[in-house]
Amino acid sequence: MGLASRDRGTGRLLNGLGLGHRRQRTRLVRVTAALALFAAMVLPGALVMPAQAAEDDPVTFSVALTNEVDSFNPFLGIEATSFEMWALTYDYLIGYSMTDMAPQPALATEWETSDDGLVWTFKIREGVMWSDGEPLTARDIAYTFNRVLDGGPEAATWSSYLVGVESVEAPDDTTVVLTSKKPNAVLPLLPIPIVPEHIWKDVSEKDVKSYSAEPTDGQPVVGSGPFRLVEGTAGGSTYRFEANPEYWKGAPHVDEVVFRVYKSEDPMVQALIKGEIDFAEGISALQVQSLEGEEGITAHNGDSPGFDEIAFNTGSVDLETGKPMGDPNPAVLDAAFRFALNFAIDRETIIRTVYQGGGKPGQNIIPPAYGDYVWEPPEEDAYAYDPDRAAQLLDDAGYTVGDDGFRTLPSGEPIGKLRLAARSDSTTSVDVMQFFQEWLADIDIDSEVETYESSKLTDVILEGNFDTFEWGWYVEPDPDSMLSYLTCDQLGNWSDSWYCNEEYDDLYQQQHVEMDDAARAELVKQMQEILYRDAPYLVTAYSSIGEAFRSDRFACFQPQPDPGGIWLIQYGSQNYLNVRPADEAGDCDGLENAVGASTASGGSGASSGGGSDDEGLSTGAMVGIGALAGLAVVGGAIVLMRRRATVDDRE
Amino acid sequence: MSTASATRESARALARDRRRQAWSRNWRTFRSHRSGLIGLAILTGFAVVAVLAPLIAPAEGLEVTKATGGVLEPPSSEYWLGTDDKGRSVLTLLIWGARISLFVGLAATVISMVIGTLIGLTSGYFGGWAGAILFRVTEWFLVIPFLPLAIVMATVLGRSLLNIVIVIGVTSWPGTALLIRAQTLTIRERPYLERARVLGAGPSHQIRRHILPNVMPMVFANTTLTVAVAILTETTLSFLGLGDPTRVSWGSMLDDAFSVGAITTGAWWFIVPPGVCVVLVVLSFTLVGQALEEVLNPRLGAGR
Repeated sequence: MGLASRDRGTGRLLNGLGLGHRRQRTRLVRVTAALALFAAMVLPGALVMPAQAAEDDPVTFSVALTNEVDSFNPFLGIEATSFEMWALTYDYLIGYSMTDMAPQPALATEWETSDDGLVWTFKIREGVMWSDGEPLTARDIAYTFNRVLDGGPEAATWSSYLVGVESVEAPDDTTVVLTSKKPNAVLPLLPIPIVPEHIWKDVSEKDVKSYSAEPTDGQPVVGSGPFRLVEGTAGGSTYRFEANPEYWKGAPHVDEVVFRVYKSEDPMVQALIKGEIDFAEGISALQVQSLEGEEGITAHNGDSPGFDEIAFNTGSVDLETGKPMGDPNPAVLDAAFRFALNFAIDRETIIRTVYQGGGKPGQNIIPPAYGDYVWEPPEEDAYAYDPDRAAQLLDDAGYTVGDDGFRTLPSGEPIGKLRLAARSDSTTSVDVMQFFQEWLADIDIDSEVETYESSKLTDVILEGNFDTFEWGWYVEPDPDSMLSYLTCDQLGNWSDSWYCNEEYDDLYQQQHVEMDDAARAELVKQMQEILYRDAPYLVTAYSSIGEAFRSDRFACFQPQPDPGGIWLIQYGSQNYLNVRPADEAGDCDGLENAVGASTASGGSGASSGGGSDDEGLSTGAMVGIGALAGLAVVGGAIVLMRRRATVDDRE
Repeated sequence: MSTASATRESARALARDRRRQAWSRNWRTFRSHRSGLIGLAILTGFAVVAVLAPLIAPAEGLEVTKATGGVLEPPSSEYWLGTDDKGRSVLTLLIWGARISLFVGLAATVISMVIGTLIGLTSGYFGGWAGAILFRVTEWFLVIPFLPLAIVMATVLGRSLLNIVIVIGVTSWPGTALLIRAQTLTIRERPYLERARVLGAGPSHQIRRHILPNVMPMVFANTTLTVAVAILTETTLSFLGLGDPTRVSWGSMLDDAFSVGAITTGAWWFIVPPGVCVVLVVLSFTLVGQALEEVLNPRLGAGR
């Protein structure tokens, strides 16, 4: 594993085309947000921009995000937002389908595997051009992959996709041959942005880390994607892309895409209502709900392929000596104990309150979007809220209630206080642990919530000084990487539960080289069953992401996975090609589940009846807040003035 | 012997008497400040509510798993101030939040007062290079922007109730120190202290018996004003997410409201009550503080 693997937060982003920061927010940034909010309230309308565009004006689609781009250089960035920018700028060898994220042709039109699964041959699309007029050939692809294979900074993000790959060659302009040492079931999944050799050959290995891949001297970044970056720097708050009319999939229907970074969600939603932006990404389920009555706006909670979990310390060990390390409570080391707790958690309640209705109760580590790989527990064992059963299972395992009213270990020693670690930068995390604490109390287990900053929690986990914690993963279309995080090999790297089970590891190795999809799915299911019994994770929720857009202006977002999925920040850039002005929507080129297609448009805007009501309330709230802010300012001023006045007197 | 002890006793009685008279005189003056009285009444109300919280609103109301209401329900006869995003009564949260907010405000003020008074007294009384250094340190703390310093400290120390108290305590003392120092400087030059010195009183005797009692009223008046600032700071830090996330305070309620998008969803009942409470308590402390200042500061009093 590379350098980056130590950083769990980072890893999550890398491995999920990371939406990992969605629920986390930098707190200090809140000050600015509050000020902006205040400004927005004080100056109503002052910020509203004219929405109507004349006929020849370029069509600009503006998207609001809550995360900044950390680098436009595809070998450096780790934030979800950066991945999205690369998807606009560059192409990929293999794309993801919109329905189930299965591999589908992109730059590679077709591919085949040798019988032993070691040699992959890709046929490359002809006639694709870089934005500076140079042709994109198989040599660019081989060049990009070889940069990753060579190690160095390029390998940090992408080498995990090329594990076991020996060489990548381009025998001619339309063929790429990839040779590996052993079969790899993850291929042909290769989500590495293809960069132009004629530009990047001037960027040496040691310069990569400082190469920004941003527009210089007004020249857009050279890429082959549907858009090109014309304005914006990493860490900035506006990124402007212009359409590539020559794009091989066809020209986009909008002339410009502009991304704006907001520091928090509420101002973003207000901007959407006022029409300053066209699309708001990553809003809360409650905000989605309140937007439903808003005229001209369509909002939804899209299923995101990830899960949140309560994880246990299943046995932290010093990797050099093999001796136990850290200070886990003996109870959480016992699989029977962990399994029992599954029934003490009311997942429906968590979804209803903590997730505000956005998301689905969790079951295991493969989210429902990847249907073929999902293992369903037998009916009678399916996790359900049943504290009596939890208590019974604990009794059976020897954790009986002692004299003081709390359960004891099988040895008769008291369990003591379980420590529930939550991420202080995530409200969801703290809330879930608060629920967990109360449910544990219901089955006579004492516990307390401890909060850590995410980065600190990573250290605590790696040192083994924890009992349980709350976090989440985003799961890639191929389950391999998610499954690997629970193997013994990953102890001290990506493993966060210190889970190690040889039977599981055997199955992992088998599925990794199994080239038959059905047989592989069977192995993956067996692995999930083992995890289910051993319970290193209590999967609490399959998360969802709130999105909203001006449906009076734009249309044709196809969900991924289709149906039920998210509209933007998908795998690939398909929706930036689909999106078009609402009056040109038509049937969205036959996309059945696209929002705003004329066939489906009847339903989306119909529920505007409650609009005026909601508006009244929020206006009331505004006035209230305004008055409060005024009071606070006056109060503060009085305090200050008094103090200043009396200081003179005093001295 | 007997006469001596009798005079000593009567001296004590005299002092007691004088003190009692001073108290009742001060109370009379204080009563003449209507704003101060109003502030005191409001504060008493909040204090009673905070102390009796377990009786008024059972602690189960804070438990998320026992919450009975819906998500962000508007005020009704059952939930007078509506519910929060987890279905708990906002009123219950408000009542329990008063405890944390008042506790943090008062505890932080005690720290700030102790530091401020100690440094003010020492730097004022001793002068010389020690006093100069202390004075510079005070000034240095005074010019550092207060909020960033508090934010940095809160981030470094981690998030717990005690840490918030410490952060506010150690960042808000310089004002007090300056005030006490100025007062000490003037008292030090008074004739009766000169007399005490001539009679052989050491520094500790002078500070304890003469200077401290004289600056005490000032400390007292300043305390009430500092509490107001401390409560505001607690609210600010909690709103910025730097408070103890497992405890309900008014600031953390505002933080929660903001993060669930209560503004967009129009859930004013989640934002306005904690805001109003903060304003009321801060205002009351300020009013009482001002009244006290006028009562206890002879120069301000004479002006009336």
